[in-house]
Amino acid sequence: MCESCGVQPASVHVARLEDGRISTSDLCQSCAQALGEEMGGNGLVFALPAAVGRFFGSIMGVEPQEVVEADGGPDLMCGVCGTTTSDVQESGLLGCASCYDVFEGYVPEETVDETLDHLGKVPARNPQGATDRREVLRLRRMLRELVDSERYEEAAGVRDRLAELGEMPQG
Amino acid sequence: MDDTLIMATGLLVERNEAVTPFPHAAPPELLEELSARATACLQREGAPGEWEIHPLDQLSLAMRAYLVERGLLTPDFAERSGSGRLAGVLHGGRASLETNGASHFRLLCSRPSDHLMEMWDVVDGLDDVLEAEFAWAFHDRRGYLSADPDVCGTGLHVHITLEIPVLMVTGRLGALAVRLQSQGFTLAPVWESAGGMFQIFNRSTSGRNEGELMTAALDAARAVVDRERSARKAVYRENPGRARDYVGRALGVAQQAWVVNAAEGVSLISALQVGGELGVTEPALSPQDAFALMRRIQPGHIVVEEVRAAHGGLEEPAIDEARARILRDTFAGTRARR
Repeated sequence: MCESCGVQPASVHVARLEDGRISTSDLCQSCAQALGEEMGGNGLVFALPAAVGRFFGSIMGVEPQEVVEADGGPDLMCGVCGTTTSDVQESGLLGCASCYDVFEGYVPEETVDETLDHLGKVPARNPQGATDRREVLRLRRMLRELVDSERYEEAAGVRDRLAELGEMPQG
Repeated sequence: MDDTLIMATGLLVERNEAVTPFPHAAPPELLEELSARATACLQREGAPGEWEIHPLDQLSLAMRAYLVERGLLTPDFAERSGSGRLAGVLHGGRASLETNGASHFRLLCSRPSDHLMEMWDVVDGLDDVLEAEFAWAFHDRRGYLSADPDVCGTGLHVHITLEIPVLMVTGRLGALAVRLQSQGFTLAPVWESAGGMFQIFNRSTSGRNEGELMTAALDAARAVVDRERSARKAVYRENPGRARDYVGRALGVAQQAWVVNAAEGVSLISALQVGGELGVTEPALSPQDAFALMRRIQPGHIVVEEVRAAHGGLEEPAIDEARARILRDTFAGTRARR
């Protein structure tokens, strides 16, 4: 929603230089045009389509924003790529990596099912947390299989290893 | 002779850059920038192998078809133009790269027969090379992120091409497809199922590591080809006259026809492969040689390799004539056993 009039949908991302600081806002076409005329180009850093603008905002260190409220209920918008709840519902596609946080509730259940957790290759640049998490998942799965096949002694060893990793074994 | 009916295997690995919006949501200039960085990365001194990289829209339709037929481009990617779309091929077709299709990057590899582990080494290495330049979109639970949440995970798609004409004509594919579905795999026709050509691929890329995914896909494929083998023997045992007639007719057409379309050509080759295996014709044609021939008679291959006109059309009558000539030459020495 336009941050100026609060009526029209925001379609233009505007960055302004004020007192040496950059501030950004999402405006509708007419409010953006009015602002441009008012400033006469002075201090206006850029005005871009909202989706593009948010991306540049994010790499400039400006925090991505969530826009809440739409017709009849809350609507979310990814601060990085500009994808909205409606976009996700219509296409089933997310716009960028940040969308996975913004639209967590809209990601299909099966993709957060623990049995489908990632167990494969991890990027070299990925922090240690991911590797530990993968090890925990691997051990949990192993524990389930050992218990199912009544190999309790081996299961106890796996349970100990999980405890070492600070993981409370389930079941 | 490798006698498995696994005709070909292929891998596709999807990766997206962490900061840039996924291709459908990104502005063109960012996609162009990603492509330029990927090109520089792969052509940098010390990078493995020589790459031929072209903007997709500079490739002729015939060349795109040729690369799709070789398993080096996906059909969806080849058919659509868009910003920052590059098609790169590693020397000798050992692997390929698509940029800014469904994902920022797709690494592909395809080989006759079963070479999954060897191919994984190739794409894994290329993934590492690209990762030196790009930070991947990755989530510790979901794995490598993609625009479609259903395909998050390893980002690895395993494709196994099978020749199962007898299971097809005896109506057993439906039950088989349902069983594969429950194991997480899809059975889909290749070349409109001409010659009983099908492909098995994994629906989800998560919940298993790369090695497990490849092993599970191979196990599923082997179970299918074992059934095909049994079905071939049973059909021949129960009605040898009809089987001989079917194969003999195929041999007659392959040796005598002057115009053959692609679907008919694949069906003829498949029938003659089955015939050779059952001892109806000789010499026998190995499944892998049959698959190589099936590829060779596809429109892109004929235009690029036979007609030597990379810019020619894919529907010209000369292509059907060239296909018939290839079949006549290949099967000139084949005969039906008495």
